Amino acid sequence: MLFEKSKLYKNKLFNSLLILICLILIFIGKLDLIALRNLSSFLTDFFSPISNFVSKPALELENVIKDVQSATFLRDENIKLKSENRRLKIIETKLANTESELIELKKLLNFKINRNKIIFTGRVLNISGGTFAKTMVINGGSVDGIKKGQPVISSLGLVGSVISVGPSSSRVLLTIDINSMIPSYLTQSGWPAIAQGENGKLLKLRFLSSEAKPIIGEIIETSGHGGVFPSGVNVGKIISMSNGNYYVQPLPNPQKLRFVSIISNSDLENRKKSKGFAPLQENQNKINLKGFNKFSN
Amino acid sequence: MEKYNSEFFFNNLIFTLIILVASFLQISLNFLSFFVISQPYILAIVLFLTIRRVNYELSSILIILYGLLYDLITGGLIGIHSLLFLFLKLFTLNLSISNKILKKYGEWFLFSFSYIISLLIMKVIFVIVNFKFPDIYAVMFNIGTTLLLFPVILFLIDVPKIVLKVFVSK
Repeated sequence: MLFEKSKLYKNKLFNSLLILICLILIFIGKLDLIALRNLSSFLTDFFSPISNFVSKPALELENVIKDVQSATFLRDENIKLKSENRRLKIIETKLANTESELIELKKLLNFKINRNKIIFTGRVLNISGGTFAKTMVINGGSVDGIKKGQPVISSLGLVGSVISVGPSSSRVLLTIDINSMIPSYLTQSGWPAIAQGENGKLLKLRFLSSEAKPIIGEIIETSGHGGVFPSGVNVGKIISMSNGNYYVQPLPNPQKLRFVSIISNSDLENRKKSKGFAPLQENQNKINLKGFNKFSN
Repeated sequence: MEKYNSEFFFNNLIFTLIILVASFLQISLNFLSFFVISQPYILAIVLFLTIRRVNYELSSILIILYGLLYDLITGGLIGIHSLLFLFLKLFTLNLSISNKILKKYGEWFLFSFSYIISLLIMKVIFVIVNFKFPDIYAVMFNIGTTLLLFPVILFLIDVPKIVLKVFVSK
């Protein structure tokens, strides 16, 4: 009886110790140590071919579902596309005029266009979409010139940013991840906000001014503040509002992404080159004020 | 002693392979548009079934290592899956209420109980660590799909048994 009790007590103690070890591990993980990051990159690199191979049946199944869906809605889709085509043709003629005006005005103002260079375009190997993290792995790494912190885009808009780089694969933190915060602005009213992921389907607009009156359907773009993401990249559109919070649907659906591009961010590069984020002012020639400059020196 | 060691090694090796396959299967599910918000935890189902149905008790340290490996592969917060799997094991085996649930309602209810409690505790820890609230809808979707997938996997495992029974009875 006593032996059983002591065994039970030991068992409880051992389990508590294991829970404590796990909690310590979580806090160590939160410290974002370089060694752990490198280990994660190595394992991602090592397992990415297997993961890619196992994902193939799911990808094929998804393609079959897509084909069946498109065949079912073919007629409706055709009618919708025809009307959209008509509408786009009208917009195209208007845009051509506006574009030529814009080019002319930019020339007159000597406006410097900040072009972001595409470093690498690669295939999406897998997406881990659990309830704790939303990331994806792509088939390009340090060999291809990819660096940590670089923005990732698709043809529709911003996908996320590179968080770890291995020799032949990289991990991208998606915009919908809870740790993702994107400085953005509302394209119609111009109000700045932070689009924050929630580990769900949508992004939440935070730090939005109380004066701002966003419209449902309004497009959100990156503002370029902070220098991590370049300005003017599509983030998503506002689709709902509840309890005073506005929710944004990201334009690129991570599940439908097969290829993404990693772009260079010239703002980030320039920031790294500078000595500080807000450099100190250089000593300027002082105005000679009688009696004052003597004491300051 | 040597025989016992080799048996232990062989069992754990097979279990490691099963866990790895389940991990990659779980990751691949995210390509399906059906699981648009969150993918179900196949890994939790496999772990629960192994704990319940395999004759030897699975080492807790090994469970922590599997969780750690999964976190490193998926790029999540390190240790979070170790704790989730450990809780799943503890709630499945060590609680007196677990046996009552198993006897009264069966395996599916016990899994639902263990999984929901473990995930909710983990979510609380996750909120404390991140200072941010995750999307509740995504968590509910994850719980729902995982619990619905459990009987499907259970049936798939039992299919060979059923087929064998039919052949034997004939």
